[in-house]
Amino acid sequence: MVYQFDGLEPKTPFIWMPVTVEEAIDLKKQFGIEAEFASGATLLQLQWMNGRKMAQHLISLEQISSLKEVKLKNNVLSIGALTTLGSYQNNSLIKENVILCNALKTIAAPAVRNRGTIGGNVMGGIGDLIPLLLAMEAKLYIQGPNSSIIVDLWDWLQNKQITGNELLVKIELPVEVNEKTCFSFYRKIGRRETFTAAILTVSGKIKWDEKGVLNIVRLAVGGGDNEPKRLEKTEQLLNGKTGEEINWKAVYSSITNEFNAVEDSFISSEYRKKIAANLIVAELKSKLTISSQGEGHIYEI
Amino acid sequence: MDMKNRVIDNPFTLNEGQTIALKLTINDEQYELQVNPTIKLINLLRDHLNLIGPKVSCGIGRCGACSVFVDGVLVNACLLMAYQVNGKHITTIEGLVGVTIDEVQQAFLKEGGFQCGYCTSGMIMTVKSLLSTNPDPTEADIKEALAGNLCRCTGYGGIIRAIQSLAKSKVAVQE
Repeated sequence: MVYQFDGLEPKTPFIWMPVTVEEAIDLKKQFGIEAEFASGATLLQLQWMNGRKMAQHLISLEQISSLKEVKLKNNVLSIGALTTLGSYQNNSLIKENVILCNALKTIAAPAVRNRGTIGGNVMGGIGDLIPLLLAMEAKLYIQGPNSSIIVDLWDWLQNKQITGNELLVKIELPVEVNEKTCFSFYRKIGRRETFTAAILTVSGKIKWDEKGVLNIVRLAVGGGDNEPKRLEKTEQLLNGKTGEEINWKAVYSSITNEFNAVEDSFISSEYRKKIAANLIVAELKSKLTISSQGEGHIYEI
Repeated sequence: MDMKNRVIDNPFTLNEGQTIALKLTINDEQYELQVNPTIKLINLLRDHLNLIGPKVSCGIGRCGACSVFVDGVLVNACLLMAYQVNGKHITTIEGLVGVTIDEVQQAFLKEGGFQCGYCTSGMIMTVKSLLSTNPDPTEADIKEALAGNLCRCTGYGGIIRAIQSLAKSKVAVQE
């Protein structure tokens, strides 16, 4: 049967369905600011509803199969930008990465995760996954009209040195081989137990040597409307120290100082800072007190 | 061949009114539709095809009232645009019913898994999706699966009971 509907909206965009990354970038270059990339478009649609202007040309990435590939090579997990947030359910490589799986499970609801993509969560700029990726030392593989670059996610977030014609192709995550000297965490706080927008998310990764001295510390905050950020000054307070040597009050204070938490009608910036500091300190202590002292230890802050 | 013609080949037709020729299968029936490419699937289903089982509520993927399957995968029809379902197989709550109602619907009836009923079609689609991959879910599994389905009557007790009851009976049959 064939139907003809009336009542077309006046500003219907042109939809382009490239099948290669190169075609997609060519289209973006051709139409410039009048075009935008779309993958699952779950976030884009919300932004349009909130008043963001819909581009005249939508370049759908959904037909580009190479953007959906997940590979593991040389202890680097390469995640195609169009890998869905729900991929932890059926992709064996994603399933093996426990902390990534746990984080993905906290983002949106199952039906949204079946459409939303990891690349979209990153390129949206404030996705809940970004703090985890910052902590995991993620790198972005970005392809432009003439060249491609691999850039540290944190560097990219700070500089965003792109002209708008580039496309995120994949995200590269180092996979820890020796998990006995490494600890990672990810926590998302919302306003109710199940699916809800985040108040904030925190994540961290620490590694230590045979003497228990921390030699890699990555801490990050973000989620909700909070701008994702690595807590580099706090990391410096921890780096080179054992659990016993850490001044936890200073760490707590540093987190609250570094985190530029947003404020809204319901939740103050100070409250968000306090939650972030409580979560990060609790997570770090849970590991460092066990690793260095053999048993849990309660600190007063 | 210019860019526009490449789009015509792959796979949409853009005419002067900027509509696309959409081909899709809904509840095993094939459709050819000339539509705005960004019309929401939920509006297409309800307003144009009179498939009013999926409900409109939040419109932003939060409440799950519009849940349908696309190629067997649970999605929110309010967050899908027409061009995104070209060539796909859509299943709505209407598509679950055969000679008799679906076993999930039967379980909801038996256990009182609804009050006003507005969320029920979405709940049932979500439960179908859950049980297809996890036939014996724990209560935690059920709550996780239903995280994107809101019941404003707060009738979750009956819903969870219906799922547990159905899962238990299916496991018992298998044993």
